[in-house]
Amino acid sequence: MRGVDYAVRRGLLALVTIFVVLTFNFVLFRTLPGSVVTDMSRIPNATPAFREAIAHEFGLDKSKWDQYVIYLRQLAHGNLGVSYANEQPVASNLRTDIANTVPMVSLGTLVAVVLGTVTGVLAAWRRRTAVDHISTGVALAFYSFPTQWLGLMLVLLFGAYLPTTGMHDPFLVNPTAWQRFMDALRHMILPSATIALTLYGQYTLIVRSAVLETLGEDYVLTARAKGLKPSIVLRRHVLRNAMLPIVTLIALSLGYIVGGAILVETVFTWPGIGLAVYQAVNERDYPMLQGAFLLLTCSVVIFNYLADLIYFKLDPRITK
Amino acid sequence: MYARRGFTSVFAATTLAIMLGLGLVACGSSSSTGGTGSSGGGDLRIGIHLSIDSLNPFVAVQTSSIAVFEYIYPALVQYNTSLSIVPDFATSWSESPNGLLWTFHTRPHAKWSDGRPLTASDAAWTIDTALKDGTGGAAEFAGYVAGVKSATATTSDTLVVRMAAPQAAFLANIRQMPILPEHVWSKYATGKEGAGLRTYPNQPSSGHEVVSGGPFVCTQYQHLGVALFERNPVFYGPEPKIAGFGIQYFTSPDAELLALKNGQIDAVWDVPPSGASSLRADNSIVVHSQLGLNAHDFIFNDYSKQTTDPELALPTVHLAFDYAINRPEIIKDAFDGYAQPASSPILAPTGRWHDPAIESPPFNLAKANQLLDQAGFKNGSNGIRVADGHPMAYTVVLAADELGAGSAAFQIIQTDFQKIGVRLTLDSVDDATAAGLELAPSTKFHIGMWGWTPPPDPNFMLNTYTCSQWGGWSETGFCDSTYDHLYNEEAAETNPAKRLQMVYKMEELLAQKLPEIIYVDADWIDAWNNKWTGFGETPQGFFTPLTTMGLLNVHQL
Repeated sequence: MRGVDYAVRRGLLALVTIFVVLTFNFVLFRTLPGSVVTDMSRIPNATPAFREAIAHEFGLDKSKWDQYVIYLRQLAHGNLGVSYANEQPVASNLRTDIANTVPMVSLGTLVAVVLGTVTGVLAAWRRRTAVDHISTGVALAFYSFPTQWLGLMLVLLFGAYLPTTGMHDPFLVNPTAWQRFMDALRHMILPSATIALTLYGQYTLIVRSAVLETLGEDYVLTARAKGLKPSIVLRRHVLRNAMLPIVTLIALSLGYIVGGAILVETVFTWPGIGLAVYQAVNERDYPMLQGAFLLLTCSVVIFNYLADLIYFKLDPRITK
Repeated sequence: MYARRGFTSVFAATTLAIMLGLGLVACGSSSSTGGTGSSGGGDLRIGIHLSIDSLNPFVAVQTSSIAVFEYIYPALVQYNTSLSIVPDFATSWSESPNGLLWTFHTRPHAKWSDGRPLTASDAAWTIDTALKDGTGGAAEFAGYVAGVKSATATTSDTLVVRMAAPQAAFLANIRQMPILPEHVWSKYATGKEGAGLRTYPNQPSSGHEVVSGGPFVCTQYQHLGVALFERNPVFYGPEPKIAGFGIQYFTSPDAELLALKNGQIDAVWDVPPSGASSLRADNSIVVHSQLGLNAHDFIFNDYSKQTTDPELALPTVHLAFDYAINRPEIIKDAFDGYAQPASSPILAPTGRWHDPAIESPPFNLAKANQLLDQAGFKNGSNGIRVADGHPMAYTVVLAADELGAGSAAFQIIQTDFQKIGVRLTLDSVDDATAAGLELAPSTKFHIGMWGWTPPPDPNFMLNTYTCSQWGGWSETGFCDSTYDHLYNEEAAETNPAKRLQMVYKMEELLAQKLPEIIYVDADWIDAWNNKWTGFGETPQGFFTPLTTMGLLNVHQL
């Protein structure tokens, strides 16, 4: 029952969080100066009647409160609205965008997790040696680089060898499935590498810290005193107990996968949800922004919730 | 010791495996038709920095999208590369002496790409839809049919357009309108005022192309990605030399130019001046520049009801500021030499419409100071002049479009304005914010910096300074009854010689009042791999809504 109570309480909190965030987003986007009406009106043949037609079509001639009520009503029916930019359902736009984003960001996140975990454990195991200093120093350096700068550096350094734009080469002649796969993978390398390099540093530091703390525990000393091999001590005693903060971090990272990586997708013109959000901000496409941020919110909240449940399973002490 | 070596070995092995895998992938095979194929054919790969926002002509607003429509849909007439109006779907046309009737003779036996007949009825349907739903689903087409009363296809290749009043710019306006296939689009002209027209995505799907009547057919489209086009085998006009072309969207100009240098694309439309200089060093790249229809302006808040800085509405202040803008230095340092001084919003590449008698004043800070002294704006203790009790310190809203050359120009202007006792502060914003600050009903700005890429016919630019464009295109809020009277006369004058004189009079009036300073007309710069030739360049590049001649003769050497 304690577990059920915990799950229910966290679930309710998740729902409230989502509602608060979507309301906040609704207000936030409308505080941006400019609107889709003024933005779209800068076309060669726009007339004042066109501006009025646009405002009316998008419901922007209604009061903010009316717009909010309409938005909530649509959401209650599972309708995310229609994009101002291409007049297509936001849900359909987002489906395509997410399908483009998830593979690239997942690959980058996976590499970051693996690299961060390996370097973090290595740094902790070889603490206060050159290996530790170099591992953490390099990780911190990459972590502190602005993402867009790192992306542009990779473009300049590797642009002659790897594609720097888009998801695939549209001019491939009758590619086989394998050629198409390899082409997609080649296009993914630089953006995923940017994500991996900017992300892995936080894993290195968290893992190092968690492993160091665990290494100082009495049961680890006992295990060593019993003559167990260091690899067994590490795997069975240290890592299992150091995992708790790592699990949380991984769950949070998974939650952000859906949100894409706005800066990375913009630098590499990767047509995913991040680039779509960037375009939507420029175009003041409120339905796309609301839809994308709702998706991101739900993703983060759900993965946080799952992390809480996993945490509870791994360490029932937290409910005390 | 064993464990440390073991662990380090595992780490080293993992690293080696990842690098090996990446190396294999990096060297992986792929093939592309771009730049290959037999001489004269092949696919041209073009890089652009404006995404194709939609393939629906009732929805798209980006210049790149409108350029695509030029290639996939017929237009009655088009410009050639010298900016003269020439036949397209219409082979000839005539205007009645009173200017109220236009008769177009269209291509007989023309076909849409799905084999259905392309006739004058399609043109009539498109025009009538624009008229009927011009405040609803077809609002984007309303400007194309300004002044039109009705359109009728009297035969399959004769279109008659009746005007409510003579329109000097009728041909220039109707030129922009893509003729749509009635048999595809009529089913979407539903809902209140044709609202359904805007819902059709008009995208190619598997086995299903976009029904086209222009020289090319769109076969693939990815939003914020690529769009591919193939030669239309049933096009009524001259067959393009290339088999097709593809457009790839780049958010980063650096990545775009690098892709050109590395052979990932064959051509770039609209290269920034800073990029042109680096491309010229590469012998495999051809850089083409010519004076563009590409104005950069310094905008005053002339709105008569704005009370915070009334001095900004004074022509004397405008003139003083004009003297303080160092055009030669801006052209040299901000535009890398790829610009010319400008004086009138009717730019030199429009040909005879540009009044050569109007010249920009020479850079002269002493003259600028003298004018401001005469206006009574004395220097304050901090060296900044005082106007009506407040310092002449203004925020300049710089639209994102102007980043690069425009922001460099601002720095030069800011330094020089300091010497005439005017302080400028930069507020760099995105285009939507700039539009929100400068366009009606808001007038929350002092000075703005933006640009125009106007069409060749002067009517559009002249219209932006009329009182009726407050709430439309007017950035300055300028409103002058004499000017409006002249504009109304010009808009209805179908005699070219008389119209020309009216245009000159309006240019002169604008030069006196200076609602905004057009400080430079920048070159239009395109670049392509030297394996290609035949680009039809215009003052707005080779990939432009003005004409299909940009790509029709492109071929490989």
